Amino acid sequence: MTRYLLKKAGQMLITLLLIVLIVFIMFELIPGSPARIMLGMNASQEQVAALESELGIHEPLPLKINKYFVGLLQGDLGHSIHFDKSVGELINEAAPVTFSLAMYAFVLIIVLSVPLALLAARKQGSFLDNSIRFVTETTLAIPPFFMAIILMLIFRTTQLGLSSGRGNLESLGFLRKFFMPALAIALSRVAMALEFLRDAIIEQKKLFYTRAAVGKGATKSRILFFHIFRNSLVPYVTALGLILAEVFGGSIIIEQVFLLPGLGRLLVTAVEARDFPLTQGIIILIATVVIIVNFLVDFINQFIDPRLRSSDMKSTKSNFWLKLSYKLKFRGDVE
Amino acid sequence: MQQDLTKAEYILKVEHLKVVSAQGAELVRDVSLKIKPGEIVGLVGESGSGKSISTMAIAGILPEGISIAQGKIFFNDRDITRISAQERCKINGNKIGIIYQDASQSLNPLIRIGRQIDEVLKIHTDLSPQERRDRVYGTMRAVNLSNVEKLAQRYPHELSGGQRQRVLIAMAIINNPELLIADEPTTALDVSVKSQIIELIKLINFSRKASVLYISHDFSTVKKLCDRVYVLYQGIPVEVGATEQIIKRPQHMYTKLLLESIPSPEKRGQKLLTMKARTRDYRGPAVNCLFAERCPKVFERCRQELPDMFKIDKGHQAACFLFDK
Repeated sequence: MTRYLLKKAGQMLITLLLIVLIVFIMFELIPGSPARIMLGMNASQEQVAALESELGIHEPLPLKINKYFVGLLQGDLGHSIHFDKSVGELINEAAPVTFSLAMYAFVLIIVLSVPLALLAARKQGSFLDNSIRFVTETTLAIPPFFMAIILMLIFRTTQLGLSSGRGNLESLGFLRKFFMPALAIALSRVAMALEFLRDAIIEQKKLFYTRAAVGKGATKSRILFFHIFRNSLVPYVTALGLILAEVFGGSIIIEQVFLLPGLGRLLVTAVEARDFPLTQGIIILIATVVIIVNFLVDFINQFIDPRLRSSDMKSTKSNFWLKLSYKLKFRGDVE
Repeated sequence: MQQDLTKAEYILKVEHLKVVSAQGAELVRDVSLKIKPGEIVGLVGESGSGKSISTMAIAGILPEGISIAQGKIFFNDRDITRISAQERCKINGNKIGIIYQDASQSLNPLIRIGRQIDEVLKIHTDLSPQERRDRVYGTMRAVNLSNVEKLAQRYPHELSGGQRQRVLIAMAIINNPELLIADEPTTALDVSVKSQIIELIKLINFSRKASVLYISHDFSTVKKLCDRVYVLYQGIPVEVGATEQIIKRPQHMYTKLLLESIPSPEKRGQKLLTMKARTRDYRGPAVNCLFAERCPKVFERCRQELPDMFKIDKGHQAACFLFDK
């Protein structure tokens, strides 16, 4: 187990390094000088050149990369050009909002998809199954930002007291204030989570061990919860991992609609201002989250299915196919 | 649980059972069979003869879309043909234990062996966890599994085929059922393990007083194990009798040919008899002798009528017009 963890941690580190490198080089290739934007259109060529050299923009690439990595190792993400603050500080302020929103949406997705999938899978092709899938697939087709506007209209007119205001993160107030943005993100993802769990349950139902369980005298509900549900979790958890990554992406857009001071707003501002250090910092943070989530998915799946423990090959292979099928199924819905 | 004071004459009695698929194919046409308490009865036939489907119907675990169209199944004189799922849950695993053909597919791959055996006790008894554990270990030892404490912590895929089959047997017998249904339990096993499993079933029959319905296509295991044999052909029994009668003096042409096709040391050097291949799988209603197209002694009547069971000897019957006197 420790060997496996070390191996996985090593893989994660290498992936992360590559991502940082690629992001860094990409930003080097983008035209447009941050100094020019900071100083405005009226600044003279000399002023821009002076600021550029102060920011170290014309240093050779390897030197800059080296500097950046040394900084990273010390936990320093650089200095924001636009805000004139350290990137770490800015992210620290904004990240809790985004993370809370994403987790909230994620929990909503699970809470909605599990019971609906259980209901839908009771009888494949039944009226209930079809209606659940029709409704969730409709919400899938509506982009989150548009869903957010619809929700705002609904909740405003019904006076449910669900404001869309800037939230503080205190427990109860947070749950109420973030409900609408979280729901807007969640609704567009429920269909995917549900589909994967439903398909897995239907697949498991066909396997012989469920009938063998009838032979043991197990009741229907016992077979469903003790046997089938648990065995359906591996594809579901894998799908949830992918969804969690997308939920982060979704929250970036939703933050704009609800004016939440999260990473999404910060990122948009940073891109507009050509604030490369800040943009890089945010992208690296999101990439890290995605990598960690992927790792957790593998880890949890091994915990659920002992067969995945014996060979790493099998788990990565089946995960690969699952992810591919996920991408193909929902390819029309890329943010 | 109250015990019947008057023991039923037959532990299992199946009358004119007919099982059809959703498309209307007759998978089991007309099966009647009886098992006395303590008896080991074999059900023999080639694949597609309906032997597995018959047992699934008895155990109430028919796959979706396949249902009992006609007939009755009595367990201890009680009609269990169409009992509710709830009632079924009380019988299965408790009064009727089932051993399946493919152990690797019959166990839940994600649950430890010990817990899967324990589940049967959990469902049917009120024993404390400690008592249950002792009984799980005891039963595992009774089916000749060794190192049971360790084994109970393993997952199905970590066991050998023989071990998995023993686990299934342990699950089937842990509540001392009155009837043990063994659906080709040796098919997936190699020869040495096969005979061990046969001995084990014999022992369970003897020590736990369980009647056994043993399903197989393999006369060599049936010979060792069963008291009486039903030979099934396309969903209809064609010959019934004590194992010795069937093996030594087979009467129906199908049984004869089936027995002739088993290789044995005495037949060394001779060419084995083979049957004409089935031209097609006929699944409609039976109007004439179903074996007619493959039978070497076929005559006019075989193509016109469906033969009844004709008596040959005491307890020995065959469904062939040659014995209509």
